[in-house]
Amino acid sequence: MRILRWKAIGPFCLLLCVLVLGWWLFLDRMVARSVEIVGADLVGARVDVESADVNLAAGRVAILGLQAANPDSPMRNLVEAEELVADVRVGALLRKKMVIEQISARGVRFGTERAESGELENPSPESGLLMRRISGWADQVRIPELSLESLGDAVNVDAISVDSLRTPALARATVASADSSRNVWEQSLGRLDPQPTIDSAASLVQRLNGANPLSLGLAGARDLAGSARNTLNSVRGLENNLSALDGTVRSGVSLLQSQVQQLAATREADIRYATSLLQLPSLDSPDLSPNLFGGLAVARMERVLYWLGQAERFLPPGLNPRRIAGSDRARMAGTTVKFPDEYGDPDFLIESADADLEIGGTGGAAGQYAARLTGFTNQPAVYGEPLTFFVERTGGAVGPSDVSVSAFMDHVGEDVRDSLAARIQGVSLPGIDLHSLGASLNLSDGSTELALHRAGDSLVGSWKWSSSSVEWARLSAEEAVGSEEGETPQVGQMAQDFLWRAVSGLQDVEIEVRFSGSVRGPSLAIGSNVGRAVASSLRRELGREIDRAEQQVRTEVDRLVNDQVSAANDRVDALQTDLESRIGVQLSELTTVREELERAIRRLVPVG
Amino acid sequence: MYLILRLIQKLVATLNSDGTPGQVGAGMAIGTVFGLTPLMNLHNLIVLALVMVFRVSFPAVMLGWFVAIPIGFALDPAFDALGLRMLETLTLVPLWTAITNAPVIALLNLNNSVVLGSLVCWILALVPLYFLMRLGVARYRATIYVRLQNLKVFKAVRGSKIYGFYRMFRPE
Repeated sequence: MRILRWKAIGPFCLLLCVLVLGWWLFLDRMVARSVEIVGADLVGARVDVESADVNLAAGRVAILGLQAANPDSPMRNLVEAEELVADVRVGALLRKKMVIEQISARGVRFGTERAESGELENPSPESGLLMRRISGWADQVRIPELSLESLGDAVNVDAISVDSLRTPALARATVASADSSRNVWEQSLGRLDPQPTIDSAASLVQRLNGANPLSLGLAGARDLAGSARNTLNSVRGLENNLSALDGTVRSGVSLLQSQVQQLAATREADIRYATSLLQLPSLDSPDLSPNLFGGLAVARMERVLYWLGQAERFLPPGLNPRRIAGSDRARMAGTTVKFPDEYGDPDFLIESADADLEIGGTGGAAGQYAARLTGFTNQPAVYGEPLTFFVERTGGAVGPSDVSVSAFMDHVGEDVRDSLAARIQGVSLPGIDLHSLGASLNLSDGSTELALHRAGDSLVGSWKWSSSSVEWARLSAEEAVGSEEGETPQVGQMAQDFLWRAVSGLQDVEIEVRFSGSVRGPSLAIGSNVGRAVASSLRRELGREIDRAEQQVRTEVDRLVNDQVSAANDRVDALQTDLESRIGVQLSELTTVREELERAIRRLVPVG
Repeated sequence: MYLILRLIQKLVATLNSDGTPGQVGAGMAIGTVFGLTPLMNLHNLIVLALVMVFRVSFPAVMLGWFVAIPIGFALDPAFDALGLRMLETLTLVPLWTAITNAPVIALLNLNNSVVLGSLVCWILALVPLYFLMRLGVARYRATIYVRLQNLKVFKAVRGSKIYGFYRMFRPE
């Protein structure tokens, strides 16, 4: 029997031809679809490709009509490119790797509008996890509230409940401790009962002083001295016990006194708490910027943390195998494990990319730019070089006078090192509604600077916006309502008026957000001349009003807690003056009688 | 309708071909790879090439494929667990690193847990499957086929032109 089926060679070759033909026909579409899928995972929003043109013989892939939606604003594109042309290393494709030696971009635009929403129907679980983590951080950031609505109203001190204050409870606990301690110490003193021993020892001293050793004789003197020594031992024992009790009482009283002192601090805390119930603005801080720009700072930092997280996800450090979800198919997708080859090529690499960007229109961002990217890879440890990115403005009659963005991401080693510096001058900055001031701030043309450094898990940096031609506008009553539905206006007319006077004269505005700490939850420090001006104005115009309200609260809290605090003071004072002095007197008497007894014994039986 | 007819023809042609039960059993055992492992993978193209070039009962391969499809779907979680276990075995990491970075072999997708698990299971089950299928075909021909061969429907299917096409791939 023959092994080979020669008649089937023809159909098999035909089948291969059909497969190759199909692959060739659909390769462009497959490449376009792959870019869409990988891009969507990278950006966290839809990425659309109009078409792709793959020429494997020339090692060239062209992507036409690329649009990457902005995950924050799905109806806008983060970036749009008319054409991307990549020179691909064909040999690497046989290793299932995409190595792009050079990529050039044409017709790149930013922030263009989309015809349809770029929101993903099914965002990747990892992106969702990252977003939830960042949202969790944002929820934990405490933004102090600036509320002026209660000013000018009669202060309602009835709202302060004695049960909600901590001082009365602490005072009652102090009284109870003092009473309990007194009972214990009184009982201890009663058990010791030093007075009979003192009296007995005193009479013995008198007898000894009156005794004549010559008339007593040797035996009589020895017996009397023995009896005196027994009494002396008893006095010494009692003295030691009383001394120990004295120490216990003194330390206990000291502890109670510290509790009494703590009552003062607790009372101050209660006053602060009661004041907070009135929602009075705090004038302690010289800068109210966190109150005004906290929301803006958190929103901007959320984006910074998102992109840092995405960078860490797509540029993972180290050479460890990495698990990713398998490709979608009718069968179970399974898990695909990537095994980086230290001596080979990364799975995906853009060695170098250059782009001449042009932002059209007459807006502040219009102009020509040059961008260069090197070492963009999903396996930095295999490539062994850090990613660098640089953009600068090269020309344009209108628009930013200076734009420079540079990034350096070293994920080669286990410890990630990222740095980013961006400086854009003359750009149109967004408007900010300051609901707590009842005003909106249009920064107009200004400059923004972002500096960021990450080393391992620690992050430090700042983001600054500044403008010297700001425009202020008053919000209408409806607009002054907070951004969240149902929130009530927070600014009374009187407060709104003088705050408007305070800020509307400001032409130069600077807002700076500094961040530092863990990359998973950095702390924020916000500063602005607007915040300082508002604080100063509040102090000037509202200081007396706030002082009056605070004084009323203080008086009410004092009224509610004074009785308990006085009782605690009295109990502790009584302990100190009564028990402590009683023990002290008896201890002193014991010491005196012991010393007299010792002298009398020495006189009766001289040493040696 | 045409597809259904063709499917019946395949079944009939396979089970009742002139090939020996061993040849049919071997074809069916090999054909299960298309059902047990994810279809759109390079290893399946290689197996298909071997099936077409060598004298393996092609209809038997098709029959094995159809029989194995639901089994493959049902066993996917087990394939996934086995594949992942193998891929995460530290001592095998150098092997997987070499395989998944080697030219052409990298295209086999062996670093996917379901592909690896199912392929390993199929390779291990190939010989037992062959014996099982051979026994099944022999029993079928001795009992059921004897009763069915005189039915008009059966004769009609065997007499169609499409059946002739399949004869081309039948063992001789």
